[in-house]
Amino acid sequence: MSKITLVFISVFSFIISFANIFIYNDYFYSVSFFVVFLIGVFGFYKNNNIWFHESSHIITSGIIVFVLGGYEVFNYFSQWLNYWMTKEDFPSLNWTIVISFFVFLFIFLKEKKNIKSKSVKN
Amino acid sequence: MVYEIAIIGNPNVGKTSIFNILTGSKQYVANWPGVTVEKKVGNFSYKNEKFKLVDLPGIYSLSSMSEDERVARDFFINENPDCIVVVADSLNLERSMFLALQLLEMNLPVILDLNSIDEVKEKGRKINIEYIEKTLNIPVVATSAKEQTGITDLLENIYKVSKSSVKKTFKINYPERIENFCQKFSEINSNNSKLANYNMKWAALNYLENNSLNNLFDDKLTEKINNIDILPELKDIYLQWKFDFLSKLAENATIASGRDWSFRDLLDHVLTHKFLGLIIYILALYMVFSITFTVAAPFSDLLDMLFSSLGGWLDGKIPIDWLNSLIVDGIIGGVGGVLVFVPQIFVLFFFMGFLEESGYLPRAAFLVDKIVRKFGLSGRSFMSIILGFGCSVPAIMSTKTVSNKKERMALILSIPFASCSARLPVYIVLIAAFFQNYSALVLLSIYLLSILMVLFSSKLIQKFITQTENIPFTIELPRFRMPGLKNLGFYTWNKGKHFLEKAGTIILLSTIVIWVLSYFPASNDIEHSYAAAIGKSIAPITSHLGWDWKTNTAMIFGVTAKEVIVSTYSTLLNTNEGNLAAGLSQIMTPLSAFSLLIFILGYVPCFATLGVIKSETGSWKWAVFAFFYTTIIAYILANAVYYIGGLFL
Repeated sequence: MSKITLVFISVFSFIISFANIFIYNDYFYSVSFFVVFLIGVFGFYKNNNIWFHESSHIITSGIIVFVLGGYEVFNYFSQWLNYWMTKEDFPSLNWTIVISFFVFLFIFLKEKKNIKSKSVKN
Repeated sequence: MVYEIAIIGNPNVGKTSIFNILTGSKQYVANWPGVTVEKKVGNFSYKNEKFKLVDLPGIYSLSSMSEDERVARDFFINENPDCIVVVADSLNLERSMFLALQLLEMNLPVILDLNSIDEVKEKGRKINIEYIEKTLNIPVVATSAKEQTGITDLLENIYKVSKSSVKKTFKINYPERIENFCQKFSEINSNNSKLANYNMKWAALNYLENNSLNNLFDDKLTEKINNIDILPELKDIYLQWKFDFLSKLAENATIASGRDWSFRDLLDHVLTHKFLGLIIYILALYMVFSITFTVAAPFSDLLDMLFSSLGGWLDGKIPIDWLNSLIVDGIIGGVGGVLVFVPQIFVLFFFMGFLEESGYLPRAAFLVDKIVRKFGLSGRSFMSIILGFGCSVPAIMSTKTVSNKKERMALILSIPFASCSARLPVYIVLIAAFFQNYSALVLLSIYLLSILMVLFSSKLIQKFITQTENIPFTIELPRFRMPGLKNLGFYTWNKGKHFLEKAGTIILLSTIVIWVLSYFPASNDIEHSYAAAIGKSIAPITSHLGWDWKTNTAMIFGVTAKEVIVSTYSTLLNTNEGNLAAGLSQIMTPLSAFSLLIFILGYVPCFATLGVIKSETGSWKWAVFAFFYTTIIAYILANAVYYIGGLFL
């Protein structure tokens, strides 16, 4: 199950990374999602010493996307503040980040449940 | 009567939090090992008795390899406190107990405080406190500084131990050869007056373990002691016994269920990955710098509008021309020009504080250990460099935790290259004027360059220091935690208020001086003012870089405090922040501005930094050396950037 999630994370973050270049011309988010893609890919490598290796990659990628979501919210509010003061550059939200936030929230909660059950079983 | 209580433990186990709760003080608590490098004192009362509480630096042992360990050891020997609270990490009992055992061997009245007990419960573990109490024959309490639980229990035990005339003694059976050695050691040293203040058994065990008291034995005594047994063999037996004893104690006292995991473990597995960890780290720094610009910019603009309105309103209301100019152009224009950066400074500190408090920042030390070793430094030194991003003064003081003297000296002289927050307003102005579209990226590159400058400088300085000493680097990675808003606010205010204090003192004073120099002798002709004469005097060595006399004057006055560069520009260009960027773009090219950024990054440490270099090295000659050394290196780099950059632009 974790492997499928890792495949999903890799493919999804790769798409978001490119979407941010072509739609928003935002290299920061593009690089950030490329890092999330790498975290997903590195999760495929076996690590026999750590039993939570795959879960760790899934959870960390989720947390990074949450931070990016928080960053987007900050950015959005500061854009509003700026607009309120200068009446220039109407604020816009990066929807790829908002969608990713909710997708990764679902993945995060599911994996949290999964790791809890794994730790009790063994 | 005032009872003296000492509080000690490994770094980052929550000593200062416990200290703050007991004394009601507000010492800064960080999720970062090595914050307390000097002892702090506070007072409290309990059941009508007065107590003096001493917070000692966080250490792993009393072997006195580094200065903080020496401070702690000397305190126990010379002060003989009424009670010692050893704060241990409940999740890492075995490691925490090593220090506790050393104190018990000194036969000191110890209370063991198992802190972070809430996290033990979160992990589904339990600790058998009675078992530890019976094994060590000392009071043991479980506390949570975060949830403020177990504090009354701790106070009650401090009260009882301090009041008790019969102190509990630690009785443990060492292997027979060790006991024999201690016995004979005591007999040999029975007439050694230098050991009068020491517990003889502890002195014997210390001699065996690392002999940090070697200056207390003359050659004759040393020879006699060394002949008691085969000491290297005995040392191995002793240390093996100690580790076995502690691991058994921790194992028997901890009851766990299921497979062990925590969010910290999950995050650490990826965040300390040698490749992923580094790029995530750089990404996090980029995010902080980007937020510094985006979030703070509207507030900064608001302040700018306020100062502009104030200046506009006052202008012409004062009948005396020179006084009107002093207040409007000098004080409001100059100091206001610096104060508009308060939002950026506070936002940067807030988010850097978030990274630090969450436990993420110290992970850099672990990630870069291999890289910085190539420069003769260790991961521990890297933490001092990061601290230098705030202010060089505490960063230089934090080098006390570096045991290797050669490394420490190189670090003290190189930390001024770490980009301190005083430089931030200058960067922001120059970036706003020339690199608006890449602001966060340029700021990130400056910070990364500043790290490289510290590393290369350390390598260079270490080439001239012959002493060699190789001490392995160990770091306790702090647990990840969500920073409390109160602590974060305290952190931000503590760091940011320094900027406000400077605005009201040295920046104000410098601004007045600059105004006087720019106003006289010809009030309407700044090109022929004293300020212009000062700036033009060094033009032969700066004009090829595209820096005019105004930049030169700003650099000269920036020696007092880096923020003064901005206020000088504001006064000389007669503008506020918004127009300052436009004004600057008229007097230099982007390439000149970038080479100027590099020069500002490195040149001349502020007076406070020079003072702390003197006190930490014990000589003014090193402070003078740092003054010229940093300036020469910064000048060479600025030239290199200008000419190499010129090939591409």
